[in-house]
Amino acid sequence: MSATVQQASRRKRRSRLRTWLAGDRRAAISLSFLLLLGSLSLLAGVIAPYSPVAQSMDILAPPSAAHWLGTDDLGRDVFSRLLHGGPMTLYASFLAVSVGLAIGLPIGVLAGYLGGWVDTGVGRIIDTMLSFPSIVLAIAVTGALGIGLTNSMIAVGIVFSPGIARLIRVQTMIVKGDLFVDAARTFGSSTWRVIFRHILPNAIQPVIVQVTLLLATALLAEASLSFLGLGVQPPQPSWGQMLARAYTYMEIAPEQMYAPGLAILFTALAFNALGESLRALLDPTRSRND
Amino acid sequence: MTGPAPQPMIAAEEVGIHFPVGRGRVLKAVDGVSLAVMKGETFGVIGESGSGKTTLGRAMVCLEKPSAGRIRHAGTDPYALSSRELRRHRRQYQIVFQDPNAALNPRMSIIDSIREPMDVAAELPRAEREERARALMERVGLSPDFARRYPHELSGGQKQRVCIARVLTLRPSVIVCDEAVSALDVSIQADILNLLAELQQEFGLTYVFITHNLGVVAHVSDRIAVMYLGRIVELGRTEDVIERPVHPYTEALLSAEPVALPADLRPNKRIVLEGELPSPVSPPSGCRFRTRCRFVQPLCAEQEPPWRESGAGHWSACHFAGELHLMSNAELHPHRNVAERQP
Repeated sequence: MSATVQQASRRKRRSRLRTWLAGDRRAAISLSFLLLLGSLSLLAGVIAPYSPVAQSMDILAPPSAAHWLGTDDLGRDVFSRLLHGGPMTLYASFLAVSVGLAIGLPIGVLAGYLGGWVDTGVGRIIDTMLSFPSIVLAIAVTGALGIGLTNSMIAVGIVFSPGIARLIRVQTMIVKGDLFVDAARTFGSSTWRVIFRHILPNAIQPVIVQVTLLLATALLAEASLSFLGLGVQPPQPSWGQMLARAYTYMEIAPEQMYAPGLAILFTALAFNALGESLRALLDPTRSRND
Repeated sequence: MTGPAPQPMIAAEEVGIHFPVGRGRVLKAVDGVSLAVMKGETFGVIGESGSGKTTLGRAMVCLEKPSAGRIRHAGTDPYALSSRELRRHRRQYQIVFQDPNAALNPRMSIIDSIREPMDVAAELPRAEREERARALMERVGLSPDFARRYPHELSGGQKQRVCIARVLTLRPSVIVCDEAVSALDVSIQADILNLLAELQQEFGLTYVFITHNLGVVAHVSDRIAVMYLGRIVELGRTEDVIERPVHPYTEALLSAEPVALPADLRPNKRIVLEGELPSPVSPPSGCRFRTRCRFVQPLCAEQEPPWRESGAGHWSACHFAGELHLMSNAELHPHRNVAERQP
């Protein structure tokens, strides 16, 4: 019996997804773009016509039949580098956001739930971290951890964590005051059960939305840090690093900027648009009447 | 209430619940309240908004810790228990809240909500929990179709039934009903009250009924405590308090009960309280009710009235208890048949 119920609810969820996408073209476009990007990244090794690091004498060539997006200053195929840079870039975004969540979420929930001096202490630390310009802080942390894509993205995640902590802290404080939390306490629930079963599911929605927006921010941060030479190390391609290299030849071959620049722009835009749509979808005043 | 009486289910001893409100000031939501709730009875607590009755009810189920005094549950002090023991112990003392919308987790299905107390206790096998939850749903008059629905798909009355079924899963000995029917339509109020009365018989429950609605409390309670500004001003058996009130505030409460009669049939012996409830941060000196009492004397401002017994089990805090000519419910509402209150 429970199997049929589960199946029915899965079917219901799938149809709900379909109606949502049908009604929200922005979300549908963003989602399909990101799915396309994801599959291209996974299949980069198969699709890419050249190796991303193979050099040739054909330098700074404009787009042609042989090189769809031209070649860079070392004669490497831009299209192949773009495909191979995709997974790097996506990995970087997700890593940064995961690190931010892993640090920010528990700290924020505990500060909001426990209140008192824990909350005051955490609040001060959050304020201190937020008062730094974020990219400067990321550079400082990267400097301490050592240069490299993973380290620089951990740094970006650390920079994200106070914002996430602050968001979930406020949500926790709101939900903590709800009667169903009091009711759970009278049943003799442990603190952990109250947090995982009652507070988190009701407090997490704004964080889900924030995550999609942060993915876009992380993408740009990766580009910035790679541009500064702190992220992906050559010859490994990443979009930010390609942009940084193209920038050097801006006066000779300005079209070099377009491919990585537009890739970053569209991906960031897709994450942002998806976040906006999710926010609208998860708004409780709207979900009441569906 | 003297001699070796049976152990009360809830005994409050000089309970005070204080909240800091900043700048060193303290709000005494409940101030020096003593009462005893006996097994099997329905104990009514009545008072206007801000009288501290909800806070007192929350303290009875250990949701607020008394700042002064003690609350004992059948002889045990719940705050003397370890946190693990307290979690076990408090299952015996359940509360049904005023707002059934807020009391249910919006992201849990009805059956999950009802089963939750048993899931927390983890004493029964899973299948048995599910079965008991479904049986209780049926017992409180909810169709099994609601099991997989979510709270926002139910009406207020249905949600309150869910809350009642949920507390019953633990087979508690005491249920505090904090304005449990005030948020519901009048027709549904009667349904829920009757349901509560039936369940009391069936499960041998003890109720603490907190409300501002005198009609409700008079209908269901064996004894009534009248609260004003954090204190109990009168306590006694329901018929004594309603027919022979000895505190002027009780008289005013009785008078304020709305009468479903056209204006020219309504008695004009209404006692209307002047002014607002004073701030509990700085309550009046002496008797707290003196600022709104129609019998006020200089003595009232100087001394706190003693807590005295004026009849068998009928207590009040008024300097002039028994000396004032107060109107009873029958005099205030002459058109109402007294028999209508009888079950």
